[in-house]
Amino acid sequence: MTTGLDRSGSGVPLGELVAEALGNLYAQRQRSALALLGIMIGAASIVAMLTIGQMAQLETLKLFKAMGVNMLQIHAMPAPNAYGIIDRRTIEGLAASEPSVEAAAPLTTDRSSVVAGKTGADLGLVAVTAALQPLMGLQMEQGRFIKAVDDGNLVAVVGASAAQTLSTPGAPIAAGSQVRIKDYVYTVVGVLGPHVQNALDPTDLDSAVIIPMGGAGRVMPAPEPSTAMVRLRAGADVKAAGARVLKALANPTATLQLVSAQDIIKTLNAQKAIHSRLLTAIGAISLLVGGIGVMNVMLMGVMERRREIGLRAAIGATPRDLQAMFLIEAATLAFVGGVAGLLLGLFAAFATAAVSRWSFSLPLYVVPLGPGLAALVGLVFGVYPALKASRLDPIEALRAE
Amino acid sequence: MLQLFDVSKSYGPADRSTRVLSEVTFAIPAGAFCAIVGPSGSGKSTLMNIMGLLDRPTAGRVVLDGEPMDISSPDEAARVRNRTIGFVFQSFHLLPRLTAWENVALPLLYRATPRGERKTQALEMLDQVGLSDRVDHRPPELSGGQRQRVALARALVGRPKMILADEPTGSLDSVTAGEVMALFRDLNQRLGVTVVMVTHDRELAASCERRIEVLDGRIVSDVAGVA
Repeated sequence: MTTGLDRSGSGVPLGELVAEALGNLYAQRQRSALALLGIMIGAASIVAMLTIGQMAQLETLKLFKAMGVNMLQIHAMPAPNAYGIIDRRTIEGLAASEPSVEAAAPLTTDRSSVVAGKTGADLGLVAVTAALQPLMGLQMEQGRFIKAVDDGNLVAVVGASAAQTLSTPGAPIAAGSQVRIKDYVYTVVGVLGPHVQNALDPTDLDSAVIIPMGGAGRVMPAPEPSTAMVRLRAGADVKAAGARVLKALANPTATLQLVSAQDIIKTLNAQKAIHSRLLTAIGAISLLVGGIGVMNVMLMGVMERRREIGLRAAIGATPRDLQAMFLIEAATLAFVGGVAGLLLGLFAAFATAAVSRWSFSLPLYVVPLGPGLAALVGLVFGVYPALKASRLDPIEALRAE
Repeated sequence: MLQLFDVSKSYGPADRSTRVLSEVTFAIPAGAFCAIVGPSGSGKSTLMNIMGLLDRPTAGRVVLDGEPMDISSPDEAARVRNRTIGFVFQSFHLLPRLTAWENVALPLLYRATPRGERKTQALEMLDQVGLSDRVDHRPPELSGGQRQRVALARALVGRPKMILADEPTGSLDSVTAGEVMALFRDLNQRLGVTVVMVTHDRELAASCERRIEVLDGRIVSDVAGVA
């Protein structure tokens, strides 16, 4: 004799059970479809969350790719009754004095109206040295960047969108054009290629006019560097090197603020983690609600199919066979919902990528994960209806109307 | 041979239980064609449920071919039912979304018979009941008599030792009922399967070789020979 617990049923093959389940679900397709909705939304939000999360991470990394993840930005906040500057020579000497520093460049930012021919605009004004271009990996659309020999000269490099703003039909801004800043006429020597502002940029270089730091006092009230961009050697200890750089640059006029690329990546990741958790919670709640929906549909099915259950029991279905039948039905129902959710979630992620102009990338593990989770939810919430079905008294069940 | 020894059945708590069957003893030899008759409430349905291993007696023993039927485990009872007993019900109990042959093949599913084999056996049995031309019809597309033939084929497909039929003609008009009865008798003779029919229809019972009459939970008569 057998106990009620072991697998002593007649061993109906899984494939047959799934085929049966699909037939039964199709027979009550309208109700099945309703039960699918919750599961589908749950699976979709989990799939979308994971896919969008991965794409966002790749995009974040991409932002730092041009510039590298070993960048530091040191910004001078004015001390009381002082301007807040960093000594230019000290910045330029950092690479020599501090072994973990590969390169360093000073810069100052301001805003000013810039006039070109008959048009003008209020644009960012950035005073730099030649060292900035290789440091930030700036690409030229045409002409050249500021060179060391330009220091003190009236030459300028224009950002891509600034150039567009200042161009008029017939008079495009190009190398050789002239622009007026305050009372000085600068000759444009180059135009930057399109530049996406990344997290460490002190200003949006794309819509700025860039001039040599020497002689910047003509058009800027405070021509001394307010910011130092520093690239550390690969593998340098960011924290320790940052502390040494801060010490080297310290002066009484300013409180120095250090931001590292890694800090920003950390912050972005933390934000992303919060979003992910939120979406996971939404997905989990939807799956839960979906699971309850599946349970409801299955319970209704058990009630309506009492005669069928009674008949199957009479002709030889063991309680285990009946449990398996309803469990597989619940799991199949949820799995179908999960597959629909996977498609919906991928579509949502694809749309997000398209709108955000990200490159679409699919973490392959979500493909089995979405439907798998859904099927698991179906199994869990199918247990109670399945037990209920297997515990029906066949005599009573056969008599049911 | 099915034997019942002093089978009793009571419902309710021990101190105020209602006795439905009282010490019923009889034997039905293999190949018999037998009716159990009695008015409603006489205990004949309970008797059939016990014979069909759907219910357990409060006292007494059920012995099939010399083997005591212990149904303390629902799994074991299901297996024995599947292999030894075929059920036919008054309301057919066919699954409407399955075709005739799929309905017939259902008991074989619970023996894990492969699908191809199930179909072969189901088609063969549908041929035996004269429905070879209706194998792919679904129950709603069949007449009452055809449905009961499908149900009969389903009861027979597992080659059971015994068919238990509960008012098998109760939902049929008299002409169709006569045809179904003739089929029962024909299959009883051709296949040698034992047929036990529960009915309150005396005319139907009269056409059986043996009539066991139940009243108030006791056997009041057991008559052999066609009346």
